[in-house]
Amino acid sequence: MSKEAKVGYYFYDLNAKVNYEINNKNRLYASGYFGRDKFGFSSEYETTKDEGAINWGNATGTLRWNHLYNNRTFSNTSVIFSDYQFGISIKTAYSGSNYELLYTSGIRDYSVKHDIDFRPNANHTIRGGGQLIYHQFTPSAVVVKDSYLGEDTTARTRIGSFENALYIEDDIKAGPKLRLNPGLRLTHFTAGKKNYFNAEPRINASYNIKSDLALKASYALMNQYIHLLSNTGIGLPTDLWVPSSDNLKPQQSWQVATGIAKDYIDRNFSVSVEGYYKEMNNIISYKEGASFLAIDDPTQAQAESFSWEKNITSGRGWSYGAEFLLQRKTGKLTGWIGYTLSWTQWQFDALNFGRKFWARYDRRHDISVVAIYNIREQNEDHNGVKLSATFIYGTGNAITLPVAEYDAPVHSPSGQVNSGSGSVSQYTGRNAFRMASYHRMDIGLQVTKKMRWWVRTWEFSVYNVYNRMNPFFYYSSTQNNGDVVLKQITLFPFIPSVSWNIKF
Amino acid sequence: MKIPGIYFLVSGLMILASCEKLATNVDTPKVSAELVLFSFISPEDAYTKVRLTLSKPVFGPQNGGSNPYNYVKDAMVILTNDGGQSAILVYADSVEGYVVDNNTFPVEASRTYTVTAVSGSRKVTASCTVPSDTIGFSDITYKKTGEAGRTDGPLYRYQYKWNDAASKVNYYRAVSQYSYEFAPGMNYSQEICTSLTTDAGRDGGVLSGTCEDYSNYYEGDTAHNRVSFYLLNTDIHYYEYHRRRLEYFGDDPFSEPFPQYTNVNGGLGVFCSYRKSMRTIKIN
Repeated sequence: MSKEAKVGYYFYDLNAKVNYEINNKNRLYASGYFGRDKFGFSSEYETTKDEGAINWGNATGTLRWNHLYNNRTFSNTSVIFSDYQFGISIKTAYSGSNYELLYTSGIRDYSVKHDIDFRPNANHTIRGGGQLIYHQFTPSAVVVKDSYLGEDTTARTRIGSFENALYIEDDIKAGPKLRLNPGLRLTHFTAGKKNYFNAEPRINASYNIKSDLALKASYALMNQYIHLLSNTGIGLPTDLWVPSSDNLKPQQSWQVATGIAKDYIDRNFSVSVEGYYKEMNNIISYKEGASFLAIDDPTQAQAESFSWEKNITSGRGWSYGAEFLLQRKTGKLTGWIGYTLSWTQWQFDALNFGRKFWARYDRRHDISVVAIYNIREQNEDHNGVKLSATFIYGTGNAITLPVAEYDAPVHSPSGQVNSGSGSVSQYTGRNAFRMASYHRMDIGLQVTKKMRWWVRTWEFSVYNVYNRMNPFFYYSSTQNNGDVVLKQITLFPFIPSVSWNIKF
Repeated sequence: MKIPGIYFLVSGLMILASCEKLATNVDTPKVSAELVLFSFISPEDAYTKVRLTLSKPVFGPQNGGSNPYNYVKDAMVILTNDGGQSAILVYADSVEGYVVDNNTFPVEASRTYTVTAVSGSRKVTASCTVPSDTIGFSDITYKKTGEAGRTDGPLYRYQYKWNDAASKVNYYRAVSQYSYEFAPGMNYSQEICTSLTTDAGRDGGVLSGTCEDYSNYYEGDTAHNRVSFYLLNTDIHYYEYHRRRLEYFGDDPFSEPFPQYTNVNGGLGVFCSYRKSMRTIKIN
């Protein structure tokens, strides 16, 4: 980057919740959220000015009606709206000509769901319901303007699809020690001309060996009709959500897990250890060499060129690991210590010469420590004061790094080897390079006071208290002496904040 | 009616300066320059050539580093066949590689060859087996549409066919190359189309390809305009290398990594073989 390079980041969000009790059998809840994040950079060098930004945001709204039929049955009916947008913009001005590229991707969902909870007797709790979602995908929308070439092109792909589901489950007390929770979910997804129907059985079981010691086991089969598409190289992370289609099958996975949980009632804490194994089919990834932006050639900005389906390939995945949790739920000091040891591998015939590789989000170690110390309970006479601290640690993402370049000729049948036909990169191996581990500690102090009309809370907190420089992404940079080094962009250094909220 | 419960969290707005710094929390991979070997051998060629260069590590000191476009000229390069015969290749500046004449050390159909190159402490080896058959085109036709004299010229649409050699896996590359004789014995040439295919699912059948070209360089005396069609029956290494190499158009900030195929042990590049047939047609 030149000396005039600037980078910056901002975010904002809005939250609101309202609940209204119509009568003792009917309640209404409404909530809304709106948030935006934007990361931008600009650089100026002589007559060239570059500007770029990556932004993402979410807006959601929910209206829920809770209805109590009788003391054994109640239902929730919800109407939900959500809108996720991701965008990249690049502008270059050079000697009077301008180049501009805007890329957006997003999902907008409209959904209705209805859930019923029925307790026929003390040994059964039956839950059932249905959901209907209309997804409006924009996997890619591209606008390219080039004043030098006189190009002004817009290419947009929009896909509408329905995702529907019916489910039923029963929480069964099968004797004094055994508890079963079988369930079945029937799902349907429309994709182009194709309809996908799938049954998703699942069962959880727990057996109390003693009153404070339980064995647990579970099995679940799941289908996911919306795929996460992540890039694997260095540079800006671009996670996109794309739908299943005529050609792209839904992601299917099954998981088994088993564990043991022990309560230490005298000492007021519990411990659980669980192991799991998961297999995934029809997961997706970008093809090697694929680019979702044809930045160099605005004349290619047509729907066909930017078709996200042409840039992806399907494969399989495996994930397994163990989770350990130590938890304290009551008392002046509450919180937990969680540790997960896991492995996630992928295999695609079209990637990495068919060999297995680590998934980008393969996380060997994941630690979370949460402690909340209730200094003083809030009552009519005085403020409530609560101190909290959180520490998280995660192994760095697995990415692919170029390590060398070499000249790779194309053979010419009329002569011999063509020389100087362009350099190519040698890589570490797909996702064989680990970004630096992610860790940080946050602390907070919450002071709550009962006012005349509402409860007011002041919260003083510090995000990333020891200013850990966690990498958001890496890029290579040439120094003045010609050496090439790896640089990183960090988004969230030490951030103190104050918030104020009221609850009626 | 009861008073509604309301929870309202005021908006938060943060404007932050992101930090850009050296990535000191990780070690960049330590790799050294490797020998890069390229050699495409064929019984139909007059000589066998092996080109050697060095790869250039991305990270680390660049002063005194290798240049990927500099040829390695001090290596010992030996070509051996499966009969135990071998030849030492000699560096020739005229072709920027190590060569041996095919009359001296012939490349023969169905034989396996191994190349070994040693330069200082670096040593690479690779092997390939020459395909048995030379396969020629059974038919080549072309159709010309549009008017001459336009800036982009008329459209020439070529179609070519050949018969697959049955009962074996075959890999093909078809290349068409325009040439114009602008003076006696002096040609201007340009490749216009290249394609790769296999006989998977079409064993022993008729295979075909097309090539379209808006030829703004088809000017001058059309009697001297020619298009040469090459049909290469290749080994898997040739096919796999070019399948990736021909799709590589360089990197943009959002492009996915694209590792290239190699069958060279101890280094990079490819050692592969092909059989070649060629047919030239005149176009009007």
